[in-house]
Amino acid sequence: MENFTKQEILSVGIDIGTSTTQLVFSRITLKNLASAFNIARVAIAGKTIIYRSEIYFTPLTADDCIDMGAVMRIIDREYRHAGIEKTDIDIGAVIITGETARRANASEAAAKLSGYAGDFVVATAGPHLESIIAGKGAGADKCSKELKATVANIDIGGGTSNIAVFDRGEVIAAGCLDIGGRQVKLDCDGRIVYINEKIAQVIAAERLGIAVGDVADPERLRALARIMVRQLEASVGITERDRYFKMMVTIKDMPLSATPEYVMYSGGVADVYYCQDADGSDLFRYQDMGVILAQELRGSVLAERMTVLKPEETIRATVVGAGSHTADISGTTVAYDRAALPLKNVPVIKIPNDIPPDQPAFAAEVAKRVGWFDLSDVASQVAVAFQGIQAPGFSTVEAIARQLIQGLDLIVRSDRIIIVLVEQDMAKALGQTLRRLLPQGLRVVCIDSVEVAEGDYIDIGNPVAGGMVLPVIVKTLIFK
Amino acid sequence: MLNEDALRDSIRLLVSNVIQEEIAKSGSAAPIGSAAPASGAAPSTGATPTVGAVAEALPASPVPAADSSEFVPDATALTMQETFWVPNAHDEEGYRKMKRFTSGRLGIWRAGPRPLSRAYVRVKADHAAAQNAVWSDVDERVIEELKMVKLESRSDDKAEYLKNPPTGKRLSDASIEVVKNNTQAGKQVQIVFSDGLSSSAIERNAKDVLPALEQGLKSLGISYADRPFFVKNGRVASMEEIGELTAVDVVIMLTGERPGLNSQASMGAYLAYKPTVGMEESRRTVISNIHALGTPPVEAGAQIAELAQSMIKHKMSGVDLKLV
Repeated sequence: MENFTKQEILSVGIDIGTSTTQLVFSRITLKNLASAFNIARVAIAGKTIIYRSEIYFTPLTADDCIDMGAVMRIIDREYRHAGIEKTDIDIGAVIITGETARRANASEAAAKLSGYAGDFVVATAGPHLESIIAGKGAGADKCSKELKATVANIDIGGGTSNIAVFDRGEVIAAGCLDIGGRQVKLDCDGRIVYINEKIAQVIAAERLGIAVGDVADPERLRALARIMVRQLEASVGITERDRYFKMMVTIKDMPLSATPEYVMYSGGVADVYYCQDADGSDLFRYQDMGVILAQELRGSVLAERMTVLKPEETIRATVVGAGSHTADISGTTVAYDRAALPLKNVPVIKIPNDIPPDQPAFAAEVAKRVGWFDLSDVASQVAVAFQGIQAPGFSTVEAIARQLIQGLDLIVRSDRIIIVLVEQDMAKALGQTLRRLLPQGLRVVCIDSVEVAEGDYIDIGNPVAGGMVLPVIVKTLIFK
Repeated sequence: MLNEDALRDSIRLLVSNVIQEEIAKSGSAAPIGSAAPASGAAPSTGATPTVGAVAEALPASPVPAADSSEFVPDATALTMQETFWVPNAHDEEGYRKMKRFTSGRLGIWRAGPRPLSRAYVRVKADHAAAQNAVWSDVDERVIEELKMVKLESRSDDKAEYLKNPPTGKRLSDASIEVVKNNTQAGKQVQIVFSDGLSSSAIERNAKDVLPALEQGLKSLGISYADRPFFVKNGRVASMEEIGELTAVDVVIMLTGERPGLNSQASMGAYLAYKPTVGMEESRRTVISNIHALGTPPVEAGAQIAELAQSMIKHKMSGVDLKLV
């Protein structure tokens, strides 16, 4: 295991969105970046997309649920077409996005698909994580790092617009609005067959005269699109919020201290936005109001007052983000019991940085936070996260281990896995110390170089790189 | 001739221009210096720092105010990563972000073509610490506290150790007897410390590496001698003789690495499977850069234990082990 130099792992991203279903395979290269005389330092050295599926309309049943049978057929066909076996996949993420996430059989979908996505999956990502994933897939994080600036990515899909703001490569805000190209759907004769509930309220309040059964009138839909675009403008703070904004917010408002310097768009509507023939004659070629929305976006204040960047991906941003930007790896010196892995959907308690981890207050804080969880279900788990200390002395490591064990008393007594996430490089020593001080047979997973926040969920996969590192997916809900 | 006159005229013009520029410069420099406190309220708004801006930045040097303290402040209190002396930097935050990846002397500014006094003092201080690490002996209290068995190489003193390297590779006759008397039969691992080229490295890191290493070995079910050896004026190769005398499977030698201006207390771990006197360097596996700002000592200890396990399993070390 000391000899690890390079490994390629195969990752899959599957996105089942409100309007489209897509899949990408990417190859993630892990490399030992340390010199031969140092302890290995494994890092993600490259990500290459090796296969992009066709873009399918998400198959739905008559009662608006995901048609899982049809989805499975699509995915099977794409795996065959790419020449990839289910067993080839090391890690992956299945994301059920947009309005679809709220549909009845999302959990059934996640369960059926988990076998296709390696050891662990993100199912029903939640609107904020989706925003971050789409932003990364579009390359907004990279742009903001290169430009040393704040960049907002707005992923405008069928049912939702996911907004993520990056500052020098780091996410600083994420939000989601119920605005999309398929909030109004047409049939092949141009008749309106569906209007989203919230949009119907706007139509009624503004007396726009758009109703199911009507032949779609471009001018009326344009007026509606202008209202929708105004919400997007308000979301990045470039115009005042009007009375519809609060209603359009999917879950929670996105706090933003300043208007970002740049903006880019991804998602299906962005595909039209950046496409030169966006003004082409057939406004309703997708049987929705997506083209009109893109046109209104082009003429908006956003285009006038902000510098608009071109993303790396438009309609595929979310699936690319899911396939290659969700997984990370732990630090290289970690301690774990193989039998405890993989771990899925473990909620994280984060001990505030101002509580020194080697003092009794730490144990009390851990115990208090563990107490918030309902541990009546034997399968439920909790991970403790804290910052840790840079280059701690051995006696400090021992003191921290003692505080942890005391604080995790409920977990220890119920024979659960001890899961510890620490930011500083000290997990191997801490993990070994925990094992020594804990009763025999208790399983320990102690990893470092992982930054998480209170309320996050974490997946920890089977070891890679010759057993030195563990793949990690942090499901961030920081901007709740 | 006309040409000559024209030439003379233009030279005259050039000289007078230069003189006027110089006068103008010295004339404006004086007011800037005297007006510095006032202009301090409104720092330069341009992207390039002005002469005045540099002059303002200089008084912030670490020369203590007469009334502040009777001690000169520690020039090495901040790490190089934390040190940033560029006045009016265009993007200080961005610069500091990049500096996190190196301990190199970046962003230390300058005084004309020379280093700032505090940068110069810092180099001298770091150099002195490096020399001190080489020429000092390991504090006896550290050796006692960790219950090490004391040995000596064939070097009579530091000077001989440095000037006649082979003497540092072998044990003195008396020490050979000490090893024989302190060998516990049937152990798999013997831990050895030596001062090498940095006594500071042992003083700072041994107390954290040793318990982490022993804990790691214990958890892996590997037996080790109760007491580690300490070789004074010892080079890495002194592990070979100890290996032969104790007949353990793996010798773990923890030694002070050659100090530099950035790290005076860096420790290296050299491991070998059944080492023999005069063996090839390629049979040793090394983990270097063990110190607070490199690989943390406790993590290194935990990792070295697993490395020893791997050597015992494969019955080899060094390059051979890399090829497994």
